[in-house]
Amino acid sequence: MMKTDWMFEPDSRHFVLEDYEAALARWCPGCGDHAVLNAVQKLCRDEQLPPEQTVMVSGIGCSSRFPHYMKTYGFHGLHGRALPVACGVRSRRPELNIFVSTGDGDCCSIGTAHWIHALRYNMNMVVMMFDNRVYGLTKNQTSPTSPKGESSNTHPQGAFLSPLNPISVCLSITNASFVAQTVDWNPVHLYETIRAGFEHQGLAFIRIFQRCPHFTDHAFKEFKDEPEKVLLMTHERGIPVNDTVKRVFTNSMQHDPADIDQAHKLARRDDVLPIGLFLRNDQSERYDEYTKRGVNMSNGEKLSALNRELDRFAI
Amino acid sequence: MTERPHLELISDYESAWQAFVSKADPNQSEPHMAAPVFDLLRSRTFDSLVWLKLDQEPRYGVFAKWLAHMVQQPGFQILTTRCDTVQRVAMNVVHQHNGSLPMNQVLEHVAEALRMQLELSEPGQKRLEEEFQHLHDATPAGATLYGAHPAASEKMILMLIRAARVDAYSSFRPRIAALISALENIVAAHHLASPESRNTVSIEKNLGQLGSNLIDAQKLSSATSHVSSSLPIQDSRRVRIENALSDLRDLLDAGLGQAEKIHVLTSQVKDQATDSAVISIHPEPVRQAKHVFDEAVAYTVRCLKAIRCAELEMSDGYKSEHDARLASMTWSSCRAGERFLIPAVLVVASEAELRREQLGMFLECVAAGLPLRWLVRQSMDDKSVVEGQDLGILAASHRTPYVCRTSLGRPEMIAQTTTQVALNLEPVIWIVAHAEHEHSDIAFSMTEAAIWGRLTPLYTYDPSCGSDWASRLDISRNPVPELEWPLIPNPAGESAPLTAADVLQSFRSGSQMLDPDWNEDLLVPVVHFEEKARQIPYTWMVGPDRQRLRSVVTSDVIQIGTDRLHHWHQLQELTGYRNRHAQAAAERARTEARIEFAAQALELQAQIDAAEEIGARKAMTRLARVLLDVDLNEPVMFEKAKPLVTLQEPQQNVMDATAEQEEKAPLPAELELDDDAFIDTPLCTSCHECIGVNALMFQYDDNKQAYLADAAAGTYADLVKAAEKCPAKCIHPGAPRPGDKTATEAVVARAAPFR
Ligand SMILES: Cc1ncc(C[n+]2csc(CCOP(=O)(O)OP(=O)(O)O)c2C)c(N)n1
Ligand code: SF4
Repeated sequence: MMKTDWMFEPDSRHFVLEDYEAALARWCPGCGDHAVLNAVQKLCRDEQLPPEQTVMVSGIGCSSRFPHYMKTYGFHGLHGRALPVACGVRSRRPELNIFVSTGDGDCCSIGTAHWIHALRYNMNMVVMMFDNRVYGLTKNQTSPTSPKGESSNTHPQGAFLSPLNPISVCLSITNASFVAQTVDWNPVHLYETIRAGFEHQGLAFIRIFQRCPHFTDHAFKEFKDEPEKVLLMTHERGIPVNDTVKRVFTNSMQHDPADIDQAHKLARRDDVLPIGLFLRNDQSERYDEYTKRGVNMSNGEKLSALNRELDRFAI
Repeated sequence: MTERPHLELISDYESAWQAFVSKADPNQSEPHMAAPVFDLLRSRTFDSLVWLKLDQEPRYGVFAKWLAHMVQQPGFQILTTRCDTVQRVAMNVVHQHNGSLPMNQVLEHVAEALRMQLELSEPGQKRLEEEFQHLHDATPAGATLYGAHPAASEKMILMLIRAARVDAYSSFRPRIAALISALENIVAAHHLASPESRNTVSIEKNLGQLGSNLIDAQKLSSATSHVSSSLPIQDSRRVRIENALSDLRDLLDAGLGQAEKIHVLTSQVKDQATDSAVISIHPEPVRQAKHVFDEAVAYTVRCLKAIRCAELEMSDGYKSEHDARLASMTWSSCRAGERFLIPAVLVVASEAELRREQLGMFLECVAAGLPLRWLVRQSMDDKSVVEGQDLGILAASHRTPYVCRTSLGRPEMIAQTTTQVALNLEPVIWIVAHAEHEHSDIAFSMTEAAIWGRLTPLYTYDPSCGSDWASRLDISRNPVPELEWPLIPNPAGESAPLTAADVLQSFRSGSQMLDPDWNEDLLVPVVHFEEKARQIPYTWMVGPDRQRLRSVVTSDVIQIGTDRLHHWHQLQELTGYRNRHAQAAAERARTEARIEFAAQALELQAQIDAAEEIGARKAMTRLARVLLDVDLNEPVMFEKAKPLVTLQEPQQNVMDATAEQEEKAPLPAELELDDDAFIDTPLCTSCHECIGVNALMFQYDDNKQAYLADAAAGTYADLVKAAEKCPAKCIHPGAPRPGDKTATEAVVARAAPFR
């Protein structure tokens, strides 16, 4: 006989997509950011993440407007400083779900130092790097990932240098634990990648190729028009792919995310655009295991600890 | 531990019988142990008579046969050979002490008895001492032996229920503590935000001496009200939280007591030593039980309310409608981990007592689903056994309770079921049969015999096992449950059914014995007795001189036996061992199968005949050819002419054939253009492009991905424009709808790449 009364289940809070939707996104129609926003909202709903336990942290840029469109807590920080803020949140509020949105300019240009150390700290969070190969918010300047020869307001004759390869950089950072790449125009793969990053314990770095219909509409055209130029990396420990994904991306190969050498080779390939999980190391150390110490101290304990320290200076 | 031992019995029978006759006690004049099967059963019963509670892990799992098992381990010699004596003495001692005794005391008694009995030499005595020391060392501290005494089942049930409740409490305790600290945090946060915390004095206190020197508390006080971001807590919420807190704190202290407390209600004066249970003696224990439960459950409900309230507050989920829900909450809202909170009330009553005055009240409690525990003792002398009353099935017909009908000869069944249902939210009823006899071993042989003779069948009725009788009722613990009667070798050496009448007859003293030279034609074994045949039914007994004699079975025993069989049939029917409809269906299916089989056999025979004929003709033709020297590779005339081919050829043929087919094949359907417009929704990136084109035509679904809401809400040109804009290329415009003026040649051409 079933007697237990479920009327009081506190888990009876059930979240639908609207519970995570804040202001109407003000990105241009057709912008890839919409797809990422939708994927994150779906993930929150599917995981039933309480909005008050979820934080979106960002720097500056179009993509960094992300926190405004999520009905969760958010921190729209300084240019390039999304990651230090996120690490700070993680240090003292280890129970929160943290998502970071940052752009190619925000992360790989002004925020480079923080990017490298955040990957080394490997604190539990999902970092989504929106790579549209341009500074979008400030209206079309060359970014570190802009292809050579791409013209912009800063380089009307075209970029002089070859672009930085963020994946190669990530793979080379000591203690990096999760490095993946996906595209905004395949919602299924995008969702599964963010989800895998969310389930990963540690910092999950996800580079998302993101269309900017305004300034770099042509940037990913060849991969959209010829999906066989996208190389789908699959593995049982990688990003799960279903038939919808396989139907679009017919060109696929097995890549074991533990195989760092092959990951480096794949990252450097320029004949195809590899998507999937390059690297995954569950053994990597996590700085947040240390920073969370003493989180449960009461005010009294903190005060007496402070006094103890100050007493050392008493004469 | 289901026994299916009729084979085992047959193989053991002869030696057991011999042993019994040779060890016969000359002082025992009455042929109580008449049916020889009892002696056999007695040896079986001995195994399970003495059992054990272990205070260590696994605490409640190991009972039966421990002592017998121990003394047969390597390292024991004297005790191994005296295993029987060890058990018998232990059992009697335990029996004299109302069914249970600490193990170390039992061992002292056994040692004493053996010393007296064995008259050992000095080295022998030393050896015996060593073996006992060894046994002491192997015995877990605090172990208690339970015998199959009527009081033992009660002690056992109490002990196991208490253990389960205390375990449940221990695992729940951290949860209570966590709820308390969560509520305290809420209150503390409120305190921080309260006006008092902003006054100068308390700010100074918080800043400490050092801080006060640096910061002006007065100024801070006037600034704090503006910077404080916490909203003060509402009064009603504060009161609610404080009430819950006080109840939870109380529970933290009193929870163990609540878990340990068991109310025992009985009308009989009892041995007051029964652990720490609260015992009430009352002439109407059933009415009293309901009263006690109702009173005690108020505390349960208060605790449950406090827990729910704390959980809701903790997750900030308390809404105004919860007030009413909490107010109407009852004990049945108890979740699995909280069941130690439900008051434990055990009614101990005799079957007769319940059946007579208190039946209505008993059934009322059962039907209401009150989680009371009932230990119903059924004495074998009781009329209920004879009259075939079955309170268990009566209760089970209310569908709510868990029922276990068992006997003292099966202590492991009591132990197992108690562990299983100790925390159930349903009523639990144990009906435990026992026999009264001055010799406890005979009493227990009688309980066992009553099981074998289907006088007191064993069963459990478990409402959690399914929705039908067959799944809920389990009679598999009875000997050979699929048969009417178990088969037992009789003294004449034949395997014969052991009926209820056989067993009942053996319980009776003074029945009429027949001389061995009685006319056989007038006699019939009780199982074959038919009233109209005018024969005298008999069963085998042992006479005063240990000789085997037939004893006359009287008509009342025959009647009871028939009724027991009907009762057993009922149980078999309810459990599906016997089902008239199924039997009829099976018989029908068998007949049909037989007919079909016969038809098939006929057909087969005809085929065989035909094949034989063809074969014969083939053989004859070949023979003729061989004789006439004709090429054997040529096909035989009456086979369909098939060209003989080499191995490579067919592959080529196949390829040619498919190539040909492909040329001619029409375009597969999928390759034809789609006529209907659609969106491949899983691929939609939610980019708003199509919505921007026509928000009526394109809409988002629950996943915020676009679908074609209404193709008629816009023009074909809209569709094509959206398809061109869609970054995921997932809009397929299909063919223009008839009459759509925007579907110019140019637009249709633009649509082509997306179709
Ligand atoms: C310290 C500082 N320097 C420069 C800027 C100007 N600025 C705003 S956004 C931006 C580039 C953002 O590019 P990206 O991170 O790629 O984001 P997108 O807009 O492309 O999504 C720059 C340089 C700033 N806000 N702060
Ligand atoms: S244009 Fe395509 S991707 Fe964008 S919302 Fe419409 S269907 Fe979805």
